[in-house]
Amino acid sequence: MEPACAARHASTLFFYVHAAERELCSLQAGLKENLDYLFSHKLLAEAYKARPPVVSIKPLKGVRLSMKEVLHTKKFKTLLFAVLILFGVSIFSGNGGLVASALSIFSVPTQRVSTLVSNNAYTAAENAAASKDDLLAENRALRERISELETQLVDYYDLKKENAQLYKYLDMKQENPDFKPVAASVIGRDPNTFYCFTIDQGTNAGISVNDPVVTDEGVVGWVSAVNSISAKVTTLLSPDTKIGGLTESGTSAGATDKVTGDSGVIGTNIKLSDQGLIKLQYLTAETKAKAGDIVVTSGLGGLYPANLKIGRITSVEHEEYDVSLYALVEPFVDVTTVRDVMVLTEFDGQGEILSAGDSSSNAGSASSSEAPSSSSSPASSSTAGSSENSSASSGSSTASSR
Amino acid sequence: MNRYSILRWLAYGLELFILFILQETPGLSISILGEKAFLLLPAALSIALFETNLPAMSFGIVAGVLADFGMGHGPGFHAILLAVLCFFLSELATNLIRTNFLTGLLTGILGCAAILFLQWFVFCLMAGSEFPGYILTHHYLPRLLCTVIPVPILYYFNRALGLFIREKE
Repeated sequence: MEPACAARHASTLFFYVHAAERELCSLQAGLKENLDYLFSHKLLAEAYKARPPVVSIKPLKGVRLSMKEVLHTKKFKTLLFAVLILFGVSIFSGNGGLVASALSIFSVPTQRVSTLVSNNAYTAAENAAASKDDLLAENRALRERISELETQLVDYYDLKKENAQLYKYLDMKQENPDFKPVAASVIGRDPNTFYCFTIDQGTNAGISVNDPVVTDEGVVGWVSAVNSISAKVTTLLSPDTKIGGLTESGTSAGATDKVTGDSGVIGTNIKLSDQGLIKLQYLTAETKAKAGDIVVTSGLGGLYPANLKIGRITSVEHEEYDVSLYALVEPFVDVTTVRDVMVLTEFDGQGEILSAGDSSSNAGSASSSEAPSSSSSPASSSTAGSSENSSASSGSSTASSR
Repeated sequence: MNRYSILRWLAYGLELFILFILQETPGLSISILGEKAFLLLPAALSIALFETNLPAMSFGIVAGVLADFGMGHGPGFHAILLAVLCFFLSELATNLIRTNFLTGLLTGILGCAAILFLQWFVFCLMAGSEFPGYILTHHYLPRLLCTVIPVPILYYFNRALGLFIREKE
């Protein structure tokens, strides 16, 4: 190639390179300008705001957890803690305690009012369902009764009501001056217990566990749990109740003649209770007990005073699995509808366990059987001559009462 | 926790107390074959459907304590059972099932059946009572029947409390 041609090529190349360099410089200048603009305050702030959020380590609201994940949550640990606390409270509080006393302060007055309303409504409904003749006869009887009561009226209305209630216990008190009774009303019947109810008096009135509960007609049951202003009564019809009993020959209603001398243990099972019956168990083969005889308490176990009426024998039958006899007894008191009761907080011989020979009540005690312990309740206790109320240890919270 | 929650919880507490009085008072609650309804059970279970797990557990404990008190015991059997059952029922309602009348009815019936069966198991069978089968058929089944009758009513009542006494979103 000639030198002039080479020089022209070189100058052309130099021109294009120079142009490219100028282009590159302008691009760099433009880029620098854009970058300066981008990183100015306003745009950067906006870009910062628009950044994607940091992924939270906590599950977002509405995200569903699997059951396995639930077991590791703080709330499940709170549940376990609460269950442990409740276990501890149930073990240490037993059948009463501060919780029951605290609850009874709110519930007992309310239950009194609701029971009063319910009883009055029931009485009014009974009157509404009666026939015309019944109503007329009742009207006449009530008019006579009103005039009789008016002559007895001596004081304020509440004292009159209390007097009418206590009057029916007057005979019992005159025959047993050692009794220290406390009047109480039934305020509740729990749906989860069998043949038990709650009364509106407690330790503040001097009531304690195992105190007998009676009416003027006879034995109702025993106090199985108590707190400051209420108590739970387990009745005769409960399978947890065991009472030492004696039979007496009754020739007329309420009269007792010579003692037949047969003693046993009053108990029952759920099938008999549903029929309103109890049974006098462990009678000997030579028993003189028969239908119509009255069964009274023997008083040997120290938990019930002697000679309190329990019921009337309806039949005497053989036990299913052994040779002894038992008598079916219909209690005098209908424990499912009783409203007012009396708790005997003190009586002579309370807590004193007597043998059959120590009893001075009657000659029949000499032939009393050594009643074995109850089999229906694991918490029962047996005493010489009779076995009385099971579950004297009120600390058991599973089998003590239903 | 806001004032709507506190108001709702007060309403639940009052509801449980009133139901306790109703079930204890003779002649005031439903009765079939001599057995009365255990009203605290369906109430606690339906509350659990509309609350988160800790409040549900708390109301389960309250209902259980009242039930134990009515039986003459200290807090124990029912308090623990209802605490656990209401906790998991609330968890179920939050995470697994849709809360509607059908699920409310099913959970109420199954929950009541479970608690009453356990009650029979502990207080009758394990306690060595005579004729446990008779007690189950003649006492616990009628009790279950009259306990589940108010389930729909209590479901709708607690649903109303749970939905209307709540902060509007």
